[in-house]
Amino acid sequence: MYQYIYDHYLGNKKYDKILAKIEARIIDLGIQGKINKITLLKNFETYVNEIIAKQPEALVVVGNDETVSKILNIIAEKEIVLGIIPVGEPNTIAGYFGIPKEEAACEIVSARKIKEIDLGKINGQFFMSSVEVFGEGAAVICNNKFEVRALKDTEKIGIYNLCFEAGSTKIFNPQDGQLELISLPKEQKSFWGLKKQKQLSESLIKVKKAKILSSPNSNSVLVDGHKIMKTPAEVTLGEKKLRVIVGSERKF
Amino acid sequence: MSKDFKDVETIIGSTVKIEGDFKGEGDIIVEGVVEGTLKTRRNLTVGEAAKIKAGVEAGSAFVAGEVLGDLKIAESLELTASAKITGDIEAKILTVATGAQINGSVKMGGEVATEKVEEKKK
Repeated sequence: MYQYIYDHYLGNKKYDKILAKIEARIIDLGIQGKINKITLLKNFETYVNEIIAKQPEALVVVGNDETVSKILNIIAEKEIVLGIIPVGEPNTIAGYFGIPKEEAACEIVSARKIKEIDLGKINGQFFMSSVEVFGEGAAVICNNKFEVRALKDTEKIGIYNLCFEAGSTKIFNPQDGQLELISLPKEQKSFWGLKKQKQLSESLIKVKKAKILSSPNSNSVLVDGHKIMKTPAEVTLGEKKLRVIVGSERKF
Repeated sequence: MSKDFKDVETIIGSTVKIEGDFKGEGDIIVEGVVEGTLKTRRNLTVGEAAKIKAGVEAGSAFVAGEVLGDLKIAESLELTASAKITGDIEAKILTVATGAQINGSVKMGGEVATEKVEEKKK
């Protein structure tokens, strides 16, 4: 049996019609299951663990990137298949998996094309996509072998599993057992801000593990574009892969 | 974003400094600063603004920047007019453009004992 989890913000009336369409489509496709609605009153982790204990054919998350991230830390390294039905914004992660929005996503869930993907881990917490540290002086020790330090004109250093950044076409393979460290320079402009000067080059280094150090300019990192964690932070890959239902339009 | 990262193994960009033992399996492009050791079995490209203060080993190398340290290149080493090497060079084939600076000894033609060659012998 499928188990569906609706994020709490979907209780807003503006989502009623969208959810009704999704529920009708689920029945049409014969993948109906139990709908579990998260409320702020319920302990999220306990609630999801109770659902997982029922050993569903798939746990289908109905929500946005943040919903997926929240679920991730509970289901990672468990024998579960994750499905996503994107409703609300942002939905970058679903986009990388080739999953269209709202009721169109039901077709993908029904087709049940499953791929195993790496998960990143930062200080024991899982992440799907990225860990980013900003500004000059940011430093990362890679594979216990060398240190990468951001010099002047560095916008950020990021460690990526799934994607470079929202909206970017630079997609990395989340099945290769490696993370990619990228340094991104600040955009260079002339004095008048009109004509761009020669652009500084980015860095790309493949790493298995990294330690993000604290620096005078920054003592925190941004995880998956919305969660802030303190440095120093140890970043690795999770030991087990996550099984995700993906679409044929996936970007890896 | 102009580069397609899928085609590149390692790029050390112009706004970062690397310190320590850096060993790559594929092609490496250096545009920034490297201190320590730098090794790859494949091609190494050192950009005009790059500064390397390290012992360097590579399959082949194209150097337009500054290297302070010994270079051991298994196959061909090409130095452009802007290259500045302070250290000893070992390479099977060496191409030097007018204006390139070499301050050190040059040994050419023989088998260069880089890590790649050593592993073949095992």
